[in-house]
Amino acid sequence: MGTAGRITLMALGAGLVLLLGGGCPVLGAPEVYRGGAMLVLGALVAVLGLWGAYALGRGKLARLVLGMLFLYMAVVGLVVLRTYGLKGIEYCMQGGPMIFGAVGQFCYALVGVIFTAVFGYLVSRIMNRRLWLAGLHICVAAVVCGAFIDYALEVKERVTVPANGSATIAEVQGGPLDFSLRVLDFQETFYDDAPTYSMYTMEQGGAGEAVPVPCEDGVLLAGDARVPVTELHSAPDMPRPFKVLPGNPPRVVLQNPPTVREYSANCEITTTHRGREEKYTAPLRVNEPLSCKGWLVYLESHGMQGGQPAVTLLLRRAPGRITVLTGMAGIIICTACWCWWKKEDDPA
Amino acid sequence: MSAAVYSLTALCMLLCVCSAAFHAGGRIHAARKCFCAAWWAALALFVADWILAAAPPFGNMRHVLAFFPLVMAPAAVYLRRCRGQDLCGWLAAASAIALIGALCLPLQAHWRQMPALQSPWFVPHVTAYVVSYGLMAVSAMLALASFRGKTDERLAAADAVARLAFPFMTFGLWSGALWADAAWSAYWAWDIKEVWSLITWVLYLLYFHTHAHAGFAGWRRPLLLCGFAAVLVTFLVVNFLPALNSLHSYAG
Repeated sequence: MGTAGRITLMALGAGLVLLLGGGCPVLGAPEVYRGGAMLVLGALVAVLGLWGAYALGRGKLARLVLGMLFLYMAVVGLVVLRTYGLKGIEYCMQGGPMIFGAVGQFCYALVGVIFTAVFGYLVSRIMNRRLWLAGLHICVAAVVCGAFIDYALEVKERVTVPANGSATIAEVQGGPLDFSLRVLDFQETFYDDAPTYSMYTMEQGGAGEAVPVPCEDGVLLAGDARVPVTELHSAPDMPRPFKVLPGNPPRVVLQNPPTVREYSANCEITTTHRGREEKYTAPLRVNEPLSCKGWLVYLESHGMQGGQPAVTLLLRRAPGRITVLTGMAGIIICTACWCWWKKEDDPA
Repeated sequence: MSAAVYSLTALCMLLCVCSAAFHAGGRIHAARKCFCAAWWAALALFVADWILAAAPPFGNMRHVLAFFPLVMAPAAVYLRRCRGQDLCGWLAAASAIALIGALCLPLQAHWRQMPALQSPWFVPHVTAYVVSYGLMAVSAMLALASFRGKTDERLAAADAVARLAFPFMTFGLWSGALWADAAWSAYWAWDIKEVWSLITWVLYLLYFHTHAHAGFAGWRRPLLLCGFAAVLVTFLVVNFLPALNSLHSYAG
């Protein structure tokens, strides 16, 4: 057994010990994940990954490099297909003049299909099981390198802005942005469910734990009490309809908040391109951050600020992100190809 | 409707038990037929759950456990046709265990997808993990059974199953990170569920690394069993421990 193999097993074992040290459900110490030992181990994993790739691809390094390059192009094709395909579908659903936009987006998506097909075919001709395994090692190293870059250089800033277009963000604490952003409005939609109710016992120091209250034919069965829903009323300092039930201690029946279906905000972004100012609006939703000039804008939360509805945005600049995400996509593809590739082909 | 859901779950579980029993008794054709019937029952259960939840039925532990036979039966067909491993009874037994768990849990039919879960990653992420956990359970069962004879044959089968499952586990882990990058503004947050998923993945990675070195052949069986123990912690302990404050708490 080679020295590198032994070191690999030891590094993986050490990594497991550190992960278990932080991840023990009861006595864990999660701070180990950002400690020096984890950083050293990460660097060791990256070096071993590259060494493993070299050892596995020895004699076929040109094929390996070409294969990984083509794999990258095929992944880029997939990203293009997904991005423009989704935009095309969105434009289609808007109907009307947006149909022309949808056709344009589907043309871009078609480029993605061609890229994926051509480079996917080339990759399948070049690679074998051993080279897929080598590629997997390179991708692990890429993820670790990207994570190191982000550890050192990632910037995250939270800003709360009114959701009526009255304030513009053009800089954060870390420095000026290369664009400005306004939140024009904010919508919150709810599931159209029948209201549900809970009961709280008023104790010293606040309300006790919520107890669900069943509702039968418009009557709430709150313990021994029967309360018609129509008897619940509103008050300025209460968020939803309620009723206080006398007793010692007193109890409060309160309508539960409705379940949120979606949050979304419309943003206006102003950038400069070759000295010309460009302005466009884009929807910002959970799971769909906006991307502009190297920054990502996330919709994090919402609330009230000075009596006005406001949203909290998270602005993020992560220079290693693309490396990490590409590495992750590569790990998924290389693992599948290594495990499921035809057996007769160059065993690894 | 709740009675129908529980009846379907019980029927599916019984068919899986019958399939495992027939397989153990050497009646392979009967085992396959029972598992096929269990798959149809599981499909009906999946549709019923979807109608009740008005969303993909992956909202709670019962939904996920009831989904196991739906993915285990195609895996049995793949293993038989493409890998030459007839493991129908083993996969049916793993499905039966999952369904017993589903029968013990409350119906919780009413489920609403919170905004963060409304992502194209949601269904493939959960499905990939269900497939991988189910197959890793079979792999661990085979590793355990290898203590009682047919050691080489059963360890080879366990390895074939682990090789089928590992890419699904890898997809589940890293697609979760890609999703988190869009939803939580960080591809890795060191959340306890993420950490245990990574521990599980690294354990199986260790298992595959030992194949390259003959001196570590004796480690393979313990590593398969440890890997499955980590699966159980990730899937059950982390979700059911109420004291844990996890970003994945909605998956409980």
